[in-house]
Amino acid sequence: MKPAAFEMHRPRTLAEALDMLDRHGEEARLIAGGQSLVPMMNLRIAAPPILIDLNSVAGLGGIRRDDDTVRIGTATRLQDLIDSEIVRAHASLLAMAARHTGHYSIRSRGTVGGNLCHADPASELVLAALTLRAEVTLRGKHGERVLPAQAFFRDALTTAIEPGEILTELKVPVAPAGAKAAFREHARRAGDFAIAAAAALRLPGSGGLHVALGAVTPVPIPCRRIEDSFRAGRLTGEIGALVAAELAGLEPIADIRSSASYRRKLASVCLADCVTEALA
Amino acid sequence: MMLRCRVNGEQVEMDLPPRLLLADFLRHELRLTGTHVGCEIGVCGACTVIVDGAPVRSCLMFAVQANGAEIRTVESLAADGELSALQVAFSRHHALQCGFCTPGILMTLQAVRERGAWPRTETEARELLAGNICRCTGYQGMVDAVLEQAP
Repeated sequence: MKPAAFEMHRPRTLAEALDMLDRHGEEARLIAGGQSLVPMMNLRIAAPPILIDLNSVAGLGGIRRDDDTVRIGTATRLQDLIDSEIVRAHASLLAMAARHTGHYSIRSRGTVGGNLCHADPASELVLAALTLRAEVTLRGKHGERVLPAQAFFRDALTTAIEPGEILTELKVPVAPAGAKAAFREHARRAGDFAIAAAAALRLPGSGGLHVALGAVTPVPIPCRRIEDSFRAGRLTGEIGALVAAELAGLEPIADIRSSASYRRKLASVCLADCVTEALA
Repeated sequence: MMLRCRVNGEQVEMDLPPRLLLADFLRHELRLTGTHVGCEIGVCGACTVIVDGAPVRSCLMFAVQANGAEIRTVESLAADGELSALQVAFSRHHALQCGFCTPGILMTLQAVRERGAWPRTETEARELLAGNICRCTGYQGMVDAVLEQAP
């Protein structure tokens, strides 16, 4: 099908984009890579009367390191996460996650900001951002706020972004030397939506272990039992029982891609493999 | 809304409705019907073209978003009627049957080659090709062609 008619605006600066967003209110939708929005428009699940195209806005892309933070502009293409030496060296979990995000040509167009704001339960980037304790910067007409990923992702397809705000940056703490990241995913084919995914980051010394599970619940969830056990020095040998306990209270999503019980099974495999690799 | 871009090396300037998909612009306005439209939701990859060096689903981009861009379609591959090395390899390995998906696959591979990201192993080749749905060949011929064409 073809999308319904709409008006398109092409702002050149962030200030201009924020003005347009403010002026048009709920009528307007932002478009960056369009890899989630355009399919919905083609299916007429979405029919925004006004689109504000962020692709010509100067200064929204790019990846740089700023002391202890890797700063990723919202318009950065997903494939750039994989190709970036800065990301591979200092936030490698993001590159690992992006490799599972869509196909090469989807990643060549899809953006970091679009993926995060769409907040699909199966988003690898959302899972990685939560695992890495990342932050997002939101700009509105009257200022800027920075939220931890934990507070930004509220529910399936729902974030804490307010009308009139634009997500401008993803900020990821630089992984200290000796940190080890691991990522696991199961999907029907490479690039499809995950049925289950897990991410882990082991920090050196007493820095702890961060583990989270994606695609199983509306928002990826931290695996506190595993994290706590690691901190208490009890995470040795067989982790199967711990993974089972972690998943015990969960009600996995059942959808077209998987039943709840199959998803639970794949989640336990992903989680066990991922943690094992991070600790190896 | 005005679109000024280059398509297969030629300057194009047209006033277009914003809702026109890049795929439909190429096919209906420019009559470049080598770009095929399969699913229109970004799943099948048949409509893949190269926009500023990147492989892009042309059904997931509005034509006016290509303003200022350099676009290449499958029609650009054969220079003076001579098939490109990759096209010849596809023919030799029977990497196509009905040919509907082939333009999208060729353009994906062309972009990947230019970006220096050519698959080195069978696993990498299959992972890349998974982004384009082919229901005839079972992919084996394509994998053979890709591995043979490794730089």
